[in-house]
Amino acid sequence: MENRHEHERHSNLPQYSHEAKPVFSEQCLKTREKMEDLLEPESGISQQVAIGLNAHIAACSSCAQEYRRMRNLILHLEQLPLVELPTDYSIPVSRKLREMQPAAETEKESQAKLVKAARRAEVIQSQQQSKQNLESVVQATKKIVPLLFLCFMALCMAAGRQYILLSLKQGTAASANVTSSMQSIPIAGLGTWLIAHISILLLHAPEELLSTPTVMFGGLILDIILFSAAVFWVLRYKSINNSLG
Amino acid sequence: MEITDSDLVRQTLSGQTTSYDCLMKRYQKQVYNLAYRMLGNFEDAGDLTQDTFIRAYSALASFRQDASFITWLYKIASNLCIDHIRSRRSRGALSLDKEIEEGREPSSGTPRSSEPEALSLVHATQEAVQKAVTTLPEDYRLAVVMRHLHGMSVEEIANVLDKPQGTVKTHLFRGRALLKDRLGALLDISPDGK
Repeated sequence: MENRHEHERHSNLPQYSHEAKPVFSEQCLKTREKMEDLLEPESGISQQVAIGLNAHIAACSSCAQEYRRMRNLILHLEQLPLVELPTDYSIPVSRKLREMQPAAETEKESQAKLVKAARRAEVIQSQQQSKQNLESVVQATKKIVPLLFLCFMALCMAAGRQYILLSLKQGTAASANVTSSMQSIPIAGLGTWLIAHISILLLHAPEELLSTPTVMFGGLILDIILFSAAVFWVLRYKSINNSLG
Repeated sequence: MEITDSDLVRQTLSGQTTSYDCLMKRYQKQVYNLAYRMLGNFEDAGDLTQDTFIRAYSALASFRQDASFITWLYKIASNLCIDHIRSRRSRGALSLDKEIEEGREPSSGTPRSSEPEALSLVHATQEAVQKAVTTLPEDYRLAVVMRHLHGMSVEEIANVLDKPQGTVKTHLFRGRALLKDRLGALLDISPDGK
């Protein structure tokens, strides 16, 4: 009897006991995580994912309720009406702005201000002009310096080849002189004579070779190749410079 | 043909104050609605609308002509709203946020509401939604109001609030989750009453 009363008393009390939280499957949790993407046009959710989510929502009553609530929330928010203005606020704002304006200036003050502003504008304009001039000089220098460098390289290469040719000619002539002077000393100068003849052969051959049109043409081709390599290098350097800003 | 915002701004800067009146008339309703949804109070919304236009006028020279004027206004208005909410909180006023934190229902501050019994179920739900919006933390509230009540894109909101788009998306997600939890079973009613 006492137990029954106890039970009734307890059953009339509000239930403050912790309710067991519903246990969601992994699929439910995933769906809830992505649920808003279904309702957000900007989410960019893929069609495949959307189909998967919709399939789960159709099968799971708990997720379906969550989805319905979220959709209704967004619909309610978007359908909240615009509140009408109680008054035209442009009138008091205009009045306040007029009050904030400084007192009317005298004509003399206005003239002085205008002159000052004009002078300042002139100074700014001249500064901008000199800045532009400096900029154009820098740009021109940037273009000219690589070209000058390339010309210098081409000249160096041509002069180098000419110098080698000249050295070979001089060497051959010197060897010929030694040979002719050694002819009067048949035995003692035999060794020297032989060396001189061999050096003539060694030096004359490349000289002849360098003097032929084919090799000269080859030299020109080599120059062009080296020149192109230099141009490529300069352009690459410039592009790296540009990309670095 | 309607004069563009940038033309009106240019005219205002050259001294034609009537052009600024046109700009105010064009956008005051949107600014007022943003303020009302943020503050949940008509009087404060009116004051904030006026402050927004006064601030905008003072800073008009810094307005970039290629930018959107309404986005720029929203930026000023949202900053003022946040300042207003924070100052209200620091003054010790019992804010709606605090009421919710303390587990009480926020009191209705809307003059248009009549007795709940007289309202339709949908209207009552909308009232509850509006009240719940005004209880959100200010960052979430701004994101939700701009996205769902003003139809702005996440990118536009990010521009207005000077925040990354990811942060705005997070604020939207958390704001909607809070609203869903607070409104609970009320959301079983769809806006068309079904």
